Amino acid sequence: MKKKLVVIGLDCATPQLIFDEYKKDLPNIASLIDGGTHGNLQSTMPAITVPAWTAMMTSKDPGQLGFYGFRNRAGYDYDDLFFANANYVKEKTVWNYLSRNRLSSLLLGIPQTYPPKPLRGIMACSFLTPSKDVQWTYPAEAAAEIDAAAGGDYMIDVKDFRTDNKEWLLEQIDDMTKRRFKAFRGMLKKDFEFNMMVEMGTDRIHHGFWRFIDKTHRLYEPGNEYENVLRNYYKLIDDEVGMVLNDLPDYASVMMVSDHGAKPMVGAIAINEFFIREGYLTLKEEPTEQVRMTNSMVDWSKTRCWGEGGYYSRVFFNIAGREPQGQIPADKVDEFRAEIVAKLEGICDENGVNIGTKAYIPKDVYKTVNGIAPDLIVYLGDLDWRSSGSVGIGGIHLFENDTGPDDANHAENGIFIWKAGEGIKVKGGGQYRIYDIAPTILDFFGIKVPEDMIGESLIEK
Amino acid sequence: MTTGFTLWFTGANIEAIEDYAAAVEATLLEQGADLELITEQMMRDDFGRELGDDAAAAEKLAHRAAIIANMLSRNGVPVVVAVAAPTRAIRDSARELVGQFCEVFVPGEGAGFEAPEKTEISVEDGEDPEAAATKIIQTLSILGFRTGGDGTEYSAEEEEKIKKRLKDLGYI
Repeated sequence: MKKKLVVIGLDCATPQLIFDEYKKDLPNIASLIDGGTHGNLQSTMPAITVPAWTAMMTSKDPGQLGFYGFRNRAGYDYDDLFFANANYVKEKTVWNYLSRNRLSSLLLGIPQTYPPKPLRGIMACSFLTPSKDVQWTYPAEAAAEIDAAAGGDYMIDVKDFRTDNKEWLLEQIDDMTKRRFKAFRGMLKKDFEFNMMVEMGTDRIHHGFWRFIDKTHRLYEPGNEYENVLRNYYKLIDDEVGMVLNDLPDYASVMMVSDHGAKPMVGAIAINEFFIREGYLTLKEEPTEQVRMTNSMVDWSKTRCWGEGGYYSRVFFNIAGREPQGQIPADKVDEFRAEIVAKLEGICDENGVNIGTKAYIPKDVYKTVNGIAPDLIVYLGDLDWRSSGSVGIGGIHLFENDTGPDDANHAENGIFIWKAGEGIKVKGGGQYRIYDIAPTILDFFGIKVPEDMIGESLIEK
Repeated sequence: MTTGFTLWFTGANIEAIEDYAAAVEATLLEQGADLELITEQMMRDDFGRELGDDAAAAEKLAHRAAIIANMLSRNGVPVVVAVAAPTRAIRDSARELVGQFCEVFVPGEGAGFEAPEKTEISVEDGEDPEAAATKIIQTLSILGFRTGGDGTEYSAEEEEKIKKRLKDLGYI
């Protein structure tokens, strides 16, 4: 029996908007929700695009994958970092297994797929592609076809995201989304068995515009001109989903997923300022103004730990015998870790109220720890706050944007929606795991789920 | 990019050679190649029902497999063959028939099997099929039967572009 699965991924699409607040405005997505199974999809730890999408497509956790974010330590030198692109994905993906079983895949924009690897089918790489001047598709000749299907120029990502010109940014996000969906619909005609796209616009618009729509956000202004921007964008997505559904044969099965959700960001904790204040980090010179901390600024002989900025904080220890100028004796690491965890979990906001930080130890949360994991994975305020690596601030709380967008942070739960089709019963319960998606896809196609996948098929037997 | 060729697995233990051949088939499929697998069982079931189990039958079976492999290879289709072809004479005949020919020897004990005197690729005793498949496919590239390799790393300039983009997006 012919099988066709269409997976529409929306990076950062968030349950509270799709399942609740905006659902009545999204008739096509609602038809999938009401006609199928849906729920929250628990992300990876950390809940970040890389490694979340790869974890979803391999059913392996970040520890097994050996990368914990976009940039990872290659060695214990202070500056030895690598970008985790597709070359670092050693575990087999869904499309690897499908190819091995002579099933073809259409993949548009799945994160962490550059550089493109051969498969049975067609792949367009994601936003970690340097530009469209390099090979961004497999096979290479598919680039022209995808551009044509997109209506002229397939947009991998929004250019110049850090702009004050919000109108221009919105136009870019809309344009990118429409082009990607158009390309997807065009390429669906190739009639591959497995078809998946990931739209990044949802992530971009959440980070860029959340303050305008969320009454609880500290920067929200009632009656602002962008109050409906997220609702309108989700309606655009819904229209595009509707056009995809209209083109599909009756036997097609349709799934929608996201890698994590979104929530308002309260502010940033300057993690290195915190460590300086607590006596764990010393700089060679006190900065005279706010500046991003670089490792060359650090007096490593007087430093026991440091942190990286981002939507969550990675904390690294300066361990004797491990780092070049390690200060923590190896037999004191556990004691030091406990001390730092207690300090981090005691962080308060500007009013002295504990923000509810959670610090995780990699060996406690992963099946195994490959590569060089952070010594602690820290959710500041349980992801209500982001991490800033800047110093020279004079305090640990930042409410002015030091580097990235400050409107929304990631939330631990993304979305799962599946209108599976006749004869397929999907497990209910409302709470799913990102690791269950790959096994479910393989099971859908009648492929035995590999024993080393850590998730389980959501198809009831 | 792959041209037509025939990768012929031979050895005394038919189950072992089929395991290794299947691993190569799966790995090449994973890499997007279109190819065909011809096994001894397939030949017996579909092209050799009337044949017995003697040396003459083995020769006929191998010859028929070689004809099919040649027809596919010369039309650009890679073919993986897992047919014992127990004597050197049989394998030499297949090699002569099929132009783009590469032999893989899987060691093992078995009556009536003549090990090759020289072979392009040997699998080690008990080698993991997936690891062997990787090695075999790399050898195919060296022999010119396949081109292309792993994607490139970022250049320094590309890495700076990516770094800036990720900073702008707040990821780092």
